Amino acid sequence: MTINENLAKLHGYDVVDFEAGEPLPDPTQNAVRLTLRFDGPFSEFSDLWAEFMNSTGVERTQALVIGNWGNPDDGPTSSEPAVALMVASADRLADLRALFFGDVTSEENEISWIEQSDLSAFWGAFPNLEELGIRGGNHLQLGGIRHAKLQTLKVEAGGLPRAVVHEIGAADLPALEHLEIWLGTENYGGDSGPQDLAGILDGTRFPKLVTLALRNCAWADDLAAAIATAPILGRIRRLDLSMGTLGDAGVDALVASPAVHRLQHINIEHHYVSDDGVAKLTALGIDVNAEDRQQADSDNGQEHRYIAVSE
Amino acid sequence: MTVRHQLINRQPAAFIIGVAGDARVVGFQSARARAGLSPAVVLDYRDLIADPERAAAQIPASARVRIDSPGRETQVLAGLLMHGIEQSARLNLHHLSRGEIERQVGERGRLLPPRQLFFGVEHVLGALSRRAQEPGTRRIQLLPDVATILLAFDKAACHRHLLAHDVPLPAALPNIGSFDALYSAMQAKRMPRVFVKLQHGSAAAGTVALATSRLGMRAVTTVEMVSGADGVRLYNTRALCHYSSPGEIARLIDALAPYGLQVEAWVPKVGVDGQIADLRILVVAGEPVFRLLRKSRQPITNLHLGAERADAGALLAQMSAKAVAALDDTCRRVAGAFPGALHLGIDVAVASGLTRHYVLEVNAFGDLLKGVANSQGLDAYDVELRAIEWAA
Repeated sequence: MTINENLAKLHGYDVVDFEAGEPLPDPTQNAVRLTLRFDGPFSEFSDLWAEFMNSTGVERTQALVIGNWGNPDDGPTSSEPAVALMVASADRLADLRALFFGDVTSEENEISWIEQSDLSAFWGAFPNLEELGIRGGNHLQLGGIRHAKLQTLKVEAGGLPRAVVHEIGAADLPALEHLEIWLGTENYGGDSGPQDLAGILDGTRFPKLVTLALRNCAWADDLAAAIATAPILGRIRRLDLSMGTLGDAGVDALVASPAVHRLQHINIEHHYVSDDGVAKLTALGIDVNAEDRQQADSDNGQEHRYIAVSE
Repeated sequence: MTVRHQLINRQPAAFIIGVAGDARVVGFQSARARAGLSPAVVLDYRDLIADPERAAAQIPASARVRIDSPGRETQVLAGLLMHGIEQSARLNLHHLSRGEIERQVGERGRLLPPRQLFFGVEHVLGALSRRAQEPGTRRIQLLPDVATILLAFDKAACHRHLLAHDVPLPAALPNIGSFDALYSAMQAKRMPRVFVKLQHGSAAAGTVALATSRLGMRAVTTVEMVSGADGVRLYNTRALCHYSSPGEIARLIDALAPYGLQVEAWVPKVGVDGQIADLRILVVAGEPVFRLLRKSRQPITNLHLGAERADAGALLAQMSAKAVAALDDTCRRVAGAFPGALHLGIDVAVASGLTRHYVLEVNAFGDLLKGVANSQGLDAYDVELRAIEWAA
């Protein structure tokens, strides 16, 4: 599977493209998307950004979606210049509550080829952000994460570098309610393992966390085992292990945990769990999403499981 | 005699060039029956292949002849390929000998040289053209005419033709004969993502969606490479193959190149319901009459590769009125560029962003739309028959 569709909604707003020569879609009613389209009127993100910043009402922008920051004719390029432009204009975007950075589909670029950069300046530049979504793990850095108002953080990747997992694990996000990380596969730079999640799982951070989503994980059974004994499990209400390689071993570890009963919802959509395993989850009496069971490939007796989104 | 009988008797003799029992022939004959028309005489491709001139001579003056697809039947394919040997050899192009044709047509999935097939179709249908052009006042009418079929069959010629008619198309990289030439052209023309198609290919046979970046390259393709003593053999596969090693991708493109390539920019197609989507639009008598959406989890969206067909309404509703009008305008433009066709199946990519669209393919036989009917319950063949009656 791949991500085939542009973001339709952000922070409850419909996402509308900002078009050359058109007025800004009402930025109090819509999320505004800036993206360099194939054959589009802009070939440089800086020109698109300048037109956006010159448009009437830009200061009232609530939600912003950034798609391709590079000219599609050049193939994937680093997000660094786009980040610099955004940060330099941040004082005129003081109302910004939601940002999605990297709304790129599989038809535009492979998720594992999206070239991210150091986004640590976002934390100080956009102090009113409540939601931040990021797609692409290559060269991604989040730095020292410290933000008083951020409620939702999503990082989508075909493979997320372990250094980023560590940065999130050390984050100071007192308002965070929803944490979503796509860990991915080693083939695409996802080099983390259970030990890298210690900062997230030890329960000392994110006092308001409701949802922990550790998705698209190539070692989901080990992940489930780590979560089963982690303090964080007693504090959250929703656990999302979807899009990964979860099998019966992971489910057995989870159901053996007393804390799992306190969950309201568990999502394992796209999984390798047997009927018996799914039955163990439903027997917990909590809401379970176990859609989209996968069949493991077998190759010379070796079983292969795949995550939902990789290349 | 009733009025209806008089109407029928005033109809010119109706023929269909096809393969008896084929879904296309059955669909057309059913529509004729619904319209109260007698069945068309089926002139089978197998007869045309056996003796083109003699078969064509069976068509009487003033007949109206629908030419349909030769289909995928082994015997027909073999016959057409045989007829394509002479022209391929004359132009010194890669082709199969009689013995190779006999061995390979029966081999499941084997990629057969589509240019040789094109030459075979050209040769066989040429007899119909000659028959239709025999002097006389009551000409035979071929629908579509042979020139239209051949133009739609040749993707490079079709691309040039449509470009001259201001039809929005993905840019093409002409005359690519090897992977090295392809890669250089992609860099020189700043086209990091391309669709490599066979110039005369159909049903996505030999198609490669190729993406390159400074991090590597990826190819998704309907072609499976099998190494043998005689080199790389190519097979069509419904489970698309993924290649990411540059060496393997080079081997694939180099193996396809002798068949004749048409390379075009990869238009990033819009997503619908989480899937990659494009449109098949059937125009009849110049007007778009059916707009179907194909939704796929893969960049190659042909239905036989697992794409789902859906109503295009959901996509069209997301587009601005201006963008939808432009799409209709493009369809009319394509139809205008093919005056010899009553109907055309046009594949269109709406690019992500929903403002621009591009014609990907034109299919002269693009009206086999199983189970599709309009609000009056008419299928493609019904609509086409009505259009003909109206024009007659």
